[in-house]
Amino acid sequence: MRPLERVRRTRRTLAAAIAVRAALWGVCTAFIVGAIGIVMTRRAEASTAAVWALAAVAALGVLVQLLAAWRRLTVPRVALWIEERVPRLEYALVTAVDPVGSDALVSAALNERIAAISWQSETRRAVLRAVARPTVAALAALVALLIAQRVDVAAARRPSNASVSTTSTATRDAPAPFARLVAVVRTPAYAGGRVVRVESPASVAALVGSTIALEAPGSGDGIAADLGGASVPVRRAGDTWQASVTMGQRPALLRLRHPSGERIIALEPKPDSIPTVRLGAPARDTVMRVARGAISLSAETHDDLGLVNGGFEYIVSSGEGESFKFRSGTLGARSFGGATSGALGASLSLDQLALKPGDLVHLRAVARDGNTVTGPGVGASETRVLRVARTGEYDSVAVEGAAPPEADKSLISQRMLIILTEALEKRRPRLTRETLVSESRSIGRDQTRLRRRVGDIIFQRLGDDPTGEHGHGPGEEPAADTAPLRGDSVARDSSRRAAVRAGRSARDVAAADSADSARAALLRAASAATGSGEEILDFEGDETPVVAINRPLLEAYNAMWEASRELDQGETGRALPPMRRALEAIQRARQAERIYLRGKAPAVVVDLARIRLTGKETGSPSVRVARSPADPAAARRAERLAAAIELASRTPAAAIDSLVLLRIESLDAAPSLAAAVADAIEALRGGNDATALLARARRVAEGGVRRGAVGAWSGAW
Amino acid sequence: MVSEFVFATAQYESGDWDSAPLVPANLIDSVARYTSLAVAPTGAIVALASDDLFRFPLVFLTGHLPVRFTEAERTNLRRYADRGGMLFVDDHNHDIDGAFHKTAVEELGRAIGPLAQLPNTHALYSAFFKFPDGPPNTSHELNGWGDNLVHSHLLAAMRGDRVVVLYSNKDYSSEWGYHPDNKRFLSIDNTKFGVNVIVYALTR
Amino acid sequence: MRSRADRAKGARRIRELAERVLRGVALAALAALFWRALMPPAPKAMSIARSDKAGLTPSLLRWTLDAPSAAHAVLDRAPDPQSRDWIAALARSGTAVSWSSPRTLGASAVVAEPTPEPYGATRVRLAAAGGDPVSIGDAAGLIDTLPRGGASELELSSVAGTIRASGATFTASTASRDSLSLRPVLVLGTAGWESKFTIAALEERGWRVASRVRVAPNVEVTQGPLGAIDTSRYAAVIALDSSAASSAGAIARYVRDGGGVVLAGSAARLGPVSALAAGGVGRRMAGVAGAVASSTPREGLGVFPVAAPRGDAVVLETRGTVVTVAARRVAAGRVLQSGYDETWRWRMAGGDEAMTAHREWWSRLVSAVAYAPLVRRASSGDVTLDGVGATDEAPLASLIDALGPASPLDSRLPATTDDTRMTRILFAAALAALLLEWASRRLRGAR
Repeated sequence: MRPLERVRRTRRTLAAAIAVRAALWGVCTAFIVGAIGIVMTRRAEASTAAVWALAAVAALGVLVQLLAAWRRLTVPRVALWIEERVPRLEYALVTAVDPVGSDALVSAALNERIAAISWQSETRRAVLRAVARPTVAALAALVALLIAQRVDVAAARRPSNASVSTTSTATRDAPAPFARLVAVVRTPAYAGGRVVRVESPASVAALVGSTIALEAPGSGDGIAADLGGASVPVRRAGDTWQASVTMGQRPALLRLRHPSGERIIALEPKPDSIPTVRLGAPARDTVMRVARGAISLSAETHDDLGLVNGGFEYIVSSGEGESFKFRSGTLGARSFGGATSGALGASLSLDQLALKPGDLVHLRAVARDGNTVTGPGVGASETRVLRVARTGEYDSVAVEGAAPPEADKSLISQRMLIILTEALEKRRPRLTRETLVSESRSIGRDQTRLRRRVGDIIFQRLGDDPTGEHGHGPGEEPAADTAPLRGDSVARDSSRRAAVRAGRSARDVAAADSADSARAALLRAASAATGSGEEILDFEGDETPVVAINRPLLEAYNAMWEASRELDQGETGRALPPMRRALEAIQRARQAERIYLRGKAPAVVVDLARIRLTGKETGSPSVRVARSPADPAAARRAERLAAAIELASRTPAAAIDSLVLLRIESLDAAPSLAAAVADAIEALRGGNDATALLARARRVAEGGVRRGAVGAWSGAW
Repeated sequence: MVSEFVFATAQYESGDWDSAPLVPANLIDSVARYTSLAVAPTGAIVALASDDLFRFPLVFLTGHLPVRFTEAERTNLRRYADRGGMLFVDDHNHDIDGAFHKTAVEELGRAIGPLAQLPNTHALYSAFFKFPDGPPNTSHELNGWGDNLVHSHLLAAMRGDRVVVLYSNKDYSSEWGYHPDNKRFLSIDNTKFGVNVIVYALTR
Repeated sequence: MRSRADRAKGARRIRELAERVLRGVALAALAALFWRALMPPAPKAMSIARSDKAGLTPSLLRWTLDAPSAAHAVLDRAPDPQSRDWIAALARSGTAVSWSSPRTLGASAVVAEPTPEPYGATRVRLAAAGGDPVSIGDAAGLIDTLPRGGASELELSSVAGTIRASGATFTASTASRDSLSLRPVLVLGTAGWESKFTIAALEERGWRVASRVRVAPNVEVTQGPLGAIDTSRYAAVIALDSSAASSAGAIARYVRDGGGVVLAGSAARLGPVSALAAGGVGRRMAGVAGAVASSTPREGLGVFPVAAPRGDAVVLETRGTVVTVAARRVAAGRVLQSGYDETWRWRMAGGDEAMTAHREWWSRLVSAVAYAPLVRRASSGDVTLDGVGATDEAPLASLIDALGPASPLDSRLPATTDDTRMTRILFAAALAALLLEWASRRLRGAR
């Protein structure tokens, strides 16, 4: 290659190096300008588009400036550049490329000499030196740009200042006068007067009667406060402003207004609960033959904040008919000094009360807390009644409090059996026939045992052998006989057999037969009662108390028999109706017993047909006034929630304010909605995804979506 | 077919709930005389702690002795009032400081809600017959029975604008506690206010 | 032999010639681009677009600019209304448009209307073939999901913006654009627990109630606006028992004029009304003991069965084989017959939710027959919360209506090359020629 060509090639190389260097410096400039611009514009909340435009312009300027070196890349200059780095050439190159030229011999000699020398390495080194620095600078500028962007993102995600309170903090974009708002909450004096500070509060939950002082640095000029529409004075205190309110009994919103913005703080009252009192002794109501001696009294009491005092209260009622006298008093009064729990004890001297037959003593334990705002809260225990029996009541009333009658236990057992059967019925499609029948028979055996217990009660009341049901003892499986209880056969067999077993005389056996007839009539009535009539038989029209007491139990007995039969065949669905009938009958029996312990009230049956519309006067009723809707705001709450949810996708801060308002207004009327909304607010404030929580709140607000198939009748079902 | 109205008397654990056994028949008689409402010829008795309470949306409660509800009675009454039931309570002692009044007011307040004076212009007093002066006085009040107390108002606990407890110190239990056949001896039927209570309960 | 100078001169001339050629090429390319911008050529082949993640819009844009003579869209789901209308407009402007789908586009439809109940609930009816899950939501988010599509009806107490139903191959949207004019209901009955609690339930639910409750002959407890029974005054009439007999004729006329009647208990026996009822009145059946507090409370209530329902009666509720609630249309009106005569026991003795359930049940009963004329909303629903005004209630049907049924792609027609490719080539050629020309000039030192 001729020297000129070699020089030109070197020139092109150098030109490329200049171009690359200029480009790198341009990029470096753009990155640096961009990094500086991002930091400055974020703080000033300005757009970054201008920054990048400026960076592009700066880069272009640098590029143009550096590319100007191209012009100087002439062949002679390049040749000189080469000569500087390759002294061996001894200006042969410059001479060879001189356009003036020389003669051929000299040119040949120069060419020969130049051909033996290479300057590629020098060129390479020069190019590397030229691009090395701008490369490093460009990389460093890129790192600086990335750091500037990350720092800015981290600053945007940093949460607002945490508070030491138990309530929530506000969003970060607070107007200036409220930026460092603090709520100082002081509980009422009776609750200890504790002070809690809440930084930047969005809601304050405190005891009713607590004072809440809101304060922030500043003069307070231009700040107006109102609580539920009532103005709250804002006063200056040193270098801060203050507004104080008292926590009422209902949730409320405190609004702070300033020309630069508004702040809403929700006030959630926490009511002071009343003390709980449990009476330990006496354990149950008592009827005494003679009122002598003393009865020890004991009770336990608890309160959430502190008890003040407590004791036992009694009322003695004397008299009968329309004439009564009453005496009351207290016993065992003591102070608790603010303890949250305590015990009460005393002794009730019956001698001192001078009780007479027929007197009643109503006794209970009472405790009071120290609530001076809405109280005091008074808690009371169950009341025990002590009665002195009258002379005529000795035979019909137990001296000691009796254990719960068997019917009550049957009630619980029958309920359990129904629950078990319903569960089995539900599982039925998934069970094999064998498993179903096995489990059904197991329940059937329990039903049978229960039926025998009910039968024992019936026969005991009739004065008969407790094992009157075909002579089977407890624990034995019943006979395969599936017939329900029939009046004649069973009763006659049982008492006659009992009489014969006891070795009674023929006359006694005949007497037993006669009693059996009465019982048979009774059982026939019960069988009729469990027929397929339209109405459930009610005992109130019966003739004798005995029938009235026992008829329900007889109904229960027969219904249980029917249920056992179905359960033995695995027909759980068909067993449930008679089981439920048995339960209802037992309940009625329980009620019948309570009524008739005191003696049957005289029953006056009004002859309606005779007196119908015989009154001399005619009524003129006034117009009825409509009832208010149950919860007219429910639909509106659902609408507001839907609007707030829709707003959350555009302006989360505004949505949070809407949700806070909705939550406060729902605390009383819809507490479940308030709780659901509170969860969503917390998620939104934390910058977390609140979609699922908002959807749940919406379902609560709407009471669930009513979904069904498209029916033949448009819209109804 | 309309299900008939059954006059129910409440049975509670602590007192003499059955102290006015003739009141039910007397009011049933009055309802039949003045209205065409389907009514059962005898009353019913229902325990306050029983689920049967909900079969009778109007229940009459009276007595002389202190009233102390059990927890079961209290829970049942609260639910009963929320569902739409109405309790008509009459102090058979007709005195304000008596044990029945103090304890009943306290227990009803705990179970259902505080009792407040019912204005004498309330719809109850014009539900069927007109009582422009409020609750009619009873002979027991006017006779004094040693206390000369005339109670000008009845008390009531409300659910919204609905009376759930109607409380009387006027001793209507004594006023209405006679056999209905004896009405023929009265120049003025003193049970008309009872008809108002029943018609109010059935229509408001 | 040519001297070096001559050779250099020659080389420079060649280089200058090359530069002129490059300049010419660049100018030619620019001219071609200019020409294409003014006079785009008509493509001869069919243009095919596929709806993918980027959607149809880029393809539609190209079709609009290129105006192909034929275009085929391969759709994996029913297009949104804007795309569909765009394609239809292209079709009307001369391009023969066809479409097909690699999978079955399930038919779907959704419609919303207000329910004749207080507080303005919205009833949404949806039908979606295909068996895929369908999610239903509005501007406020997801409301419900149907796991297998099908036909379903939802009642929503609040709706934000447009309601959307989305499945695998469609997104349908609707909005309720009307509201209802709901008048009071008239209750006729005898004073008793059933009339008391029925009126209470309706009022608590928000209905305006007028009532006439008989206490004694010629003695009634009245409430609300009472007047002639006609559709200008009442949305529905509820007859609870035989006390409505004196109004039976008026009720019958009211029904024929479009009114709605609920006949409860044995009220369906009333003379002129019995001919309108859904069926006869059977012998009263007692309820199942203890069932009032269970999950099927109405089984615990006494009922007069609807005996021998008429041929056009719609059975709404049964107990076993017995019909307890049925309805039918009579002339312009509707009659619903409910055999229950003691629903108050459900409210009093039912489970925890009994009061609310009793209220809702009675409200639905009345709503099923209520006369409530539609009133167009003032805003006409054109601007909704989420800014979407248009609805697309049956996407597939609308697509077929606009473009005809699906047709397979005609394989005889060659697919067109990308028209923009020539533009890019010409642009690249112009740029390259200009750059080369400039670089050559500069490198040889010329300006």
